[in-house]
Amino acid sequence: MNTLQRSSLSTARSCRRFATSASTSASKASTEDTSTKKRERESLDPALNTHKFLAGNPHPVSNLRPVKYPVPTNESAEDRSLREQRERVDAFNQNFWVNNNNMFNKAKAEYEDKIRAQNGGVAATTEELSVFYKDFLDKAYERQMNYNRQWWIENIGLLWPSAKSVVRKWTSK
Amino acid sequence: MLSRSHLIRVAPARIQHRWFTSSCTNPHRLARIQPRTSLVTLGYSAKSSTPLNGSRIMFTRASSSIPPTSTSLSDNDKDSDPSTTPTTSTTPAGFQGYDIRWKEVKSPTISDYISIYLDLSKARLGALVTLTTMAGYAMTPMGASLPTLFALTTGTALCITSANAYNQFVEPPYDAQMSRTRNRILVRKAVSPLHAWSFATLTGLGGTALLAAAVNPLTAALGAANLVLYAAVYTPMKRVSIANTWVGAVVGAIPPMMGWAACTNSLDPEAWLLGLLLYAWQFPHFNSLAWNLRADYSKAGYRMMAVTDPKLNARVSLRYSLALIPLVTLAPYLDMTSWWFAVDGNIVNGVMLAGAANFWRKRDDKTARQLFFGSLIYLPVILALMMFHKKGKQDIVQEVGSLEQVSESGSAAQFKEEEDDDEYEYVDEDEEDEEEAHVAVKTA
Repeated sequence: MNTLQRSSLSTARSCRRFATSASTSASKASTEDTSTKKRERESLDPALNTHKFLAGNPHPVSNLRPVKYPVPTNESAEDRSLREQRERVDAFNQNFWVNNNNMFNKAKAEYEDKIRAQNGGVAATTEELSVFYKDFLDKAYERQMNYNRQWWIENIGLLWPSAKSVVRKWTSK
Repeated sequence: MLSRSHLIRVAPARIQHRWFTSSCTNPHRLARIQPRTSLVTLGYSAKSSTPLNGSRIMFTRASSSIPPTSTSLSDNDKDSDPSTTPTTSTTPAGFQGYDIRWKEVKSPTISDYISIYLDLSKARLGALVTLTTMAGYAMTPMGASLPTLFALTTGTALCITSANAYNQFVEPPYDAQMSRTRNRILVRKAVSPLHAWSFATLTGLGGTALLAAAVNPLTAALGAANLVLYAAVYTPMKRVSIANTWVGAVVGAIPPMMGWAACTNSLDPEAWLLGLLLYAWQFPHFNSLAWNLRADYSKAGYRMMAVTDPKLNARVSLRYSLALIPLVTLAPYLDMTSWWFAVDGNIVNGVMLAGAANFWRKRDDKTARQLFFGSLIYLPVILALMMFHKKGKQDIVQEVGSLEQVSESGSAAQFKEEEDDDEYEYVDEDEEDEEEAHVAVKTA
């Protein structure tokens, strides 16, 4: 490893360390807030549990769960690339659904306000809402098609590397 | 100098240009050491670092230890400080801004696996579909062979399990959006997608093989075709066009036909009648369910009639509820049941029709729910009535005997049938064929 890579790595590492400590303190602060609620909600600290497979509660907008894949001490390059591929797919899904659901909620709220203004304060009926649902679905068609195609490709594309990783784990034991 | 050239050769292409202009001072040297050697692979494929169609994010180069220079096009990416790579930052990309409660997902124990596999196979739904297959087998006029019945049930159950598991493998992000499905195994990350896919493949292969070996090739072919239809046609079609409901109805119609074919190794008109009955039933069943889920379907991008054309949704369910009446009436005409079935079957049809008409008129959540639960009760009731009124071999032979007015052969045949009924457990394939020939000769 030459000097350039070494120096950039150390910068990256120190930046990462800073970010980790910043977000740890942030998560600590937030966990302190939640502990004041009646029921104490436990949460493992991901920075301390890198060897474990962690899953969090669903995101309020996208409804997807955040996942932290386990990082073993002797992680091989292929395992690392598989993990990063999985993380990329998760980020891809998260981005799409946050966008989609935000758009849906916003559009629905606007539509309901419009209807209420027209009706003079009466909430939208199921018939009127059906018009909105159809409109949203039709407008989202191409966006959804692109996402579907990409998701199918990514999902199936993860199978073979995962299989190889499992075989590697079996043969190394 | 040596170190500088070494430096340049190793760095990746995109950053390289900047390093050149900033660090190299000698232009001649610049030109000479323009590197054409292979770059250090950073552990990811080029394909996955290109922006994806339809998404507004460009992936941060999570794998590189060198700060990424790719610019992001989406707001959600502003959290990716170039030096915090998702590999070691505590929050995965895009999940900033809310209180995450992390829990460990432990490796499942044996008992966990049982509930996992039951969930993957959608056990309750699978059991109902297997029941329709058994009903199809029970409606055949020949004596039941228990080994065949057992193989048929197990094989069909495995095929259905496989279809449902494939469906769940493909759909976690969509399932997460809908309240009905958000506690499924893969949404909760209880098992890996590879595990679910392997389970689906193994059960599919096992089910088809069992049907081919222990029942007959026709049933195996139908089972395999149904599996492909559900997993590879219906599942993607749900997001493409409303025609998916019709494909799904075919998926529901095939199991009783499999049951019939398991005994006769052919698709007789009776088998088609059973298939058509289930096909018609699917519409009031599914359309009423979809009505109450239309908000979720719209948000998640599923193309269902309930969203795109509510009037069509209700009309189609009414149409097919009407179609159930001639189908039920056809059963005794084909000698499957006595004419009493036409009477009480149509009474049940009338109740279903009333529910469908109500839904068609009012089109609200309450009538939809009533129709859905009505359809759930309708199916076992109509199948039970069909089996109750089924014309046994004895009935057919008796009629034929009285028609021919040869009492000796008639009573001899009766005697033979009774004898055979006592020993039905030991009937093997050859004997069944002989009996088929016997009955065919008598009814000819």
